[in-house]
Amino acid sequence: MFVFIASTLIAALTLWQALLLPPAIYEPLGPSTFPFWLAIALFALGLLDLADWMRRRRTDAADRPMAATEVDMPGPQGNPDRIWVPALIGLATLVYVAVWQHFRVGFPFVTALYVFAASAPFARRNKAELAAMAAGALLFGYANYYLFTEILFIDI
Amino acid sequence: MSLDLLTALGAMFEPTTFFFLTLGVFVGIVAGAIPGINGAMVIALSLPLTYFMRPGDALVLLVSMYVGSTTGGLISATLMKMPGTPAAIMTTLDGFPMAQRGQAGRALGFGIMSSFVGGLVSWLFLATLSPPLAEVAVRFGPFEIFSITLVALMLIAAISQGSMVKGLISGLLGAIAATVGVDPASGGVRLTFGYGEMDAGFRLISVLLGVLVLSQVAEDYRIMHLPTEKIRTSTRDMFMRLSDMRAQAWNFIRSSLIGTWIGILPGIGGTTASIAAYTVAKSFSKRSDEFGTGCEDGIVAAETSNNAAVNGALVPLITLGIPGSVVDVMLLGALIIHNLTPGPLLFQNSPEAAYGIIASALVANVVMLAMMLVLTPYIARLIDVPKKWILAPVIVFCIIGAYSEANRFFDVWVMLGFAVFGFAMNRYRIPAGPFIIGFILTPIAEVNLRSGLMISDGSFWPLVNRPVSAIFLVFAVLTACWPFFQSRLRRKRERDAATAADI
Repeated sequence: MFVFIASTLIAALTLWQALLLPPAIYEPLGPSTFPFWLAIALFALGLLDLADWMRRRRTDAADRPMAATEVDMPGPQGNPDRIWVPALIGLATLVYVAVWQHFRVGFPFVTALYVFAASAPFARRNKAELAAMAAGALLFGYANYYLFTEILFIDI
Repeated sequence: MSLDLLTALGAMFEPTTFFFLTLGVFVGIVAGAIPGINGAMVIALSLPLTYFMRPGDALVLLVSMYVGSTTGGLISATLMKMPGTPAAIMTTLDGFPMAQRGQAGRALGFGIMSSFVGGLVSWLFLATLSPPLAEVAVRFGPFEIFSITLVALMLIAAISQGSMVKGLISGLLGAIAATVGVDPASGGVRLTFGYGEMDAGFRLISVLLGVLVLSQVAEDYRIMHLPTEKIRTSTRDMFMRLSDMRAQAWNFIRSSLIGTWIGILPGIGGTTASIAAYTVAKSFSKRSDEFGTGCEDGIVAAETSNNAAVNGALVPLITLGIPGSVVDVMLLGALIIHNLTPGPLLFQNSPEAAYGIIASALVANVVMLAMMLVLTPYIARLIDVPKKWILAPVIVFCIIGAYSEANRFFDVWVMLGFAVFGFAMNRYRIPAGPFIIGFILTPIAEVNLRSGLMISDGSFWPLVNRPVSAIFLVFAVLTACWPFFQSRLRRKRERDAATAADI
């Protein structure tokens, strides 16, 4: 169901933007043709997925295997409720990037702080490991600052 | 063997180039061995670093990582029952049971030698097929290129099998993401919602790092609490005996051919190759009932084919500029970054790059064999490094990688957005591979179709009256329809079986 809603939403937004584009002048297709037909196809496939989902609900059939391409992973393992873990890390990442972008407090320090914050909760209050993580985070922040600014000349 | 290829092979042993080759193989093996850090991730992470390298060295590094990571996956697949790379998934079925029986060294030895043989056989195809294929491909016009690209996109549907619809949805989402920004034909901007920062579109590196790397890191954080079983290994029995090699000779050849062919088909990678070769080996083997309980034949089939697919996938990349797998998308990105034109003209304009890729695939395979035979017990210990120490630094590297291409924070936010998107796709079992393939192939398809139509004054007729284009177009249509027929046939068989059971 979610796949249908998401694909319909994306198809609608694409279609809306494609219809705003000017018509073709010097060539047969124009800039809107590809996005337009891609959006239509996405909507149609969303409908197919919805039909498939309804059929599976009716027959209570098991989910069928996904495409076996190179980077595909097997279906989600473990406890699905633990989604809060990546959510919290994601939030910390957003704060890290925002602070780095807007406050310019210094890459090494903010990076060390972030790396420690994203690792320390998993040390389970083991003081020796926490100390090692703090030292590792500081080393990582400053070593990377040196690597990227002094050796690779990236303005961070 | 051509003089260009011999020169390229010689160039691999220049100190700097050989250093990057060895480094690439080592990093690839380690990355492949650590579950949750696969080859695609480490190559995506390394891509921004190659901006500062010579084009030849950059390609050597990435190809070596590709070779190393595909093989490295077998270490954790055998010792932990966790495939380090998805392509090693079939290796777990027989590798781990063998390791449990105390034959970890023998299982790894079979896997290592199989990887080497698969790489070697497929390299012969890469070296012999690519130059003549590129010569033919030079004569292709925009309609032919469009049809070939269409086949690649349609193959997404064919390989998706049961979840064909989700595979296609993923490919279409990637295609839509690729249309954002400057229109390649008219130069106007589109799908930007009036937001100026989006005029340049989504950068490949931001999309790759978000969809492939960060989404996987998020998943790794979620499952970090899961316990893993690990078996120790040593170099004992790791060298495959000559009698074993003789016994596996036909399995080696068959699995190499399957892997190479599946690798050549655009959009399909080592995972499908190993599943196909394993299934075929099982049906041909005298010990088919032992498959899945620790049978050497299974390891040989899986590892030979997934490594053969690496070189197979390089064939469409260097001859047509069409990536054979997701990792090849990154190699394509590396070519573009270094101002090299991927496709048939690569052999004419930059033969050193084209032959460099071919030569590095061979030398990396040999280095991989030596490194795996000597270092596997030590690399196996690296798997013990807890993920809690690795994941946060990986996120930082991704952020710097996305930022450094154009020194824009917008690209970092785009990457984070795609990470959420990739994570959601994973949750709803939408494969990420077709998304990346759709993202990279759509501009190629669009540019070629539109320029072809300008040449033909808007007539679509050349798509069907030019033989090569017509053949590929028919193949594309058949590929798109095949899963529907397959599904109908399966349902009919199920209905017939149910009716027979009732009677």
